[in-house]
Amino acid sequence: MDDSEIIALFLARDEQALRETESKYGKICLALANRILHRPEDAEECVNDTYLKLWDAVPLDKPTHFAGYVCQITRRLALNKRRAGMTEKRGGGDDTLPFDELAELISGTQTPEELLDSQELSRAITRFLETQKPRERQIFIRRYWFFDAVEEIAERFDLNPKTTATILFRLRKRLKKYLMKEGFDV
Amino acid sequence: MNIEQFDAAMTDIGQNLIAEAAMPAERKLPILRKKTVGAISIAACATCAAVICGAFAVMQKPEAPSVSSELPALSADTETQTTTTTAADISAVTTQAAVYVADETLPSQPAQTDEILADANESAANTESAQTIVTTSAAQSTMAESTKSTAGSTDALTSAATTSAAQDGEMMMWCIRSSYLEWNGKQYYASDTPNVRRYTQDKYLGKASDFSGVYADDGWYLLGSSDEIYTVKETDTLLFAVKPSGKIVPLVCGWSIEEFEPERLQPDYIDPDAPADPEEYHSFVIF
Repeated sequence: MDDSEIIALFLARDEQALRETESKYGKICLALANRILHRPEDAEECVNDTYLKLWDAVPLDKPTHFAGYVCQITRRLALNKRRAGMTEKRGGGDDTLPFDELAELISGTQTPEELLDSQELSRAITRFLETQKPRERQIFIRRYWFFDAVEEIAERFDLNPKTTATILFRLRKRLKKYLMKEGFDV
Repeated sequence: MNIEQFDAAMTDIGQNLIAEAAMPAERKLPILRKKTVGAISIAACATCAAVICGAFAVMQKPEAPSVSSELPALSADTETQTTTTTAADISAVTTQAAVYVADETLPSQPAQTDEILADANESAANTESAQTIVTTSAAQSTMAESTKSTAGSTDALTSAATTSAAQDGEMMMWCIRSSYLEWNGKQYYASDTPNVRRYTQDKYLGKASDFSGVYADDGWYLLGSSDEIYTVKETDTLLFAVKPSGKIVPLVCGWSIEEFEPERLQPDYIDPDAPADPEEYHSFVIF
């Protein structure tokens, strides 16, 4: 079923919307949640929460890119759940997501000036990615948004893992340069 | 900026970008235009017409066709080699060559096949006898060229290839545009670092213009649209672009010129005839 038809079902408050969403995006959401949470039962719960959230939010938001919208909700819920879990563990290290690769972009400190508008940073990253070649930006998003392993990305794009790592390295360098130019403290 | 901030910002990037990345990736296959395939097929047919007819009876024979030549290590200069084969070989070879071009994957086909030029006139007249065929690295370029040469101009083609580098009025200049082409989803950048003498030219893939990438027929680009692209035997991280003059530009996969590490491309093969100073092959002519 087409995304616009699913959205129409949501707007009509037809529960078929949830079944269609699950059939079309259930797998990708579950995979994303699993990569973030590493616990199948938590991931499944997270995906169910996604459907609930969609039920409430779609009529208000009327998303234009439904796939991105659905994945975004799952990611947000999964990351929140992960953070909550880590807080409970008190200082459990976050070594499963590829944040170490982003160390050059993340200073780790946060001055009052740096309590910047997160949306402004999102917009800057979006602008940057939109200027990159489609394949390269997809590789970047697969790695740092969907948290795919480099080997998975290489297979997906029919590339050598070394080539993929090189592309990511170049993109990180370019993003850092771009964010600095835009006035962000990286 | 800390991790949470960055990650929150990443989460909120454009939904269009997320949706794009969520979709199955497009795998870039080599693009060979229909007209190219058509032209090659027609050329192959023209070349083979007499050969196939004459060789058909020979092909019924039980003995397997064999090409008794070792591939020469490719050099910047064109090398000429004489080898012997049967008419059956020629027809099989030529037919296979056309199939290779139509098949975009080109994985592990016999290497010698598209290196053979057959003299169709001779083969038509004498199908049962062994024939002399001429191979040249320049002559490998297309089956279309093979057709031209079978009209009796193989010698001319060979000599043109051997002397072209000297006659083209070489002009050394810096190339500031990064040329590359895409094949099988990978980017191959024109580079002057690998020593082409260390590699053996393998299968013909098509003209540069058949691939997506960045190249142009002016002095600022190493790679021209009429260059012919070949795989090399020793590694899949290198392609050869053979210019109309026979000059070779190596295309290095996946990393740019400044990040190239020479060790990465060292194959086991060592050319005993390689000059003591490989620097002489490190510069290329811009056409």
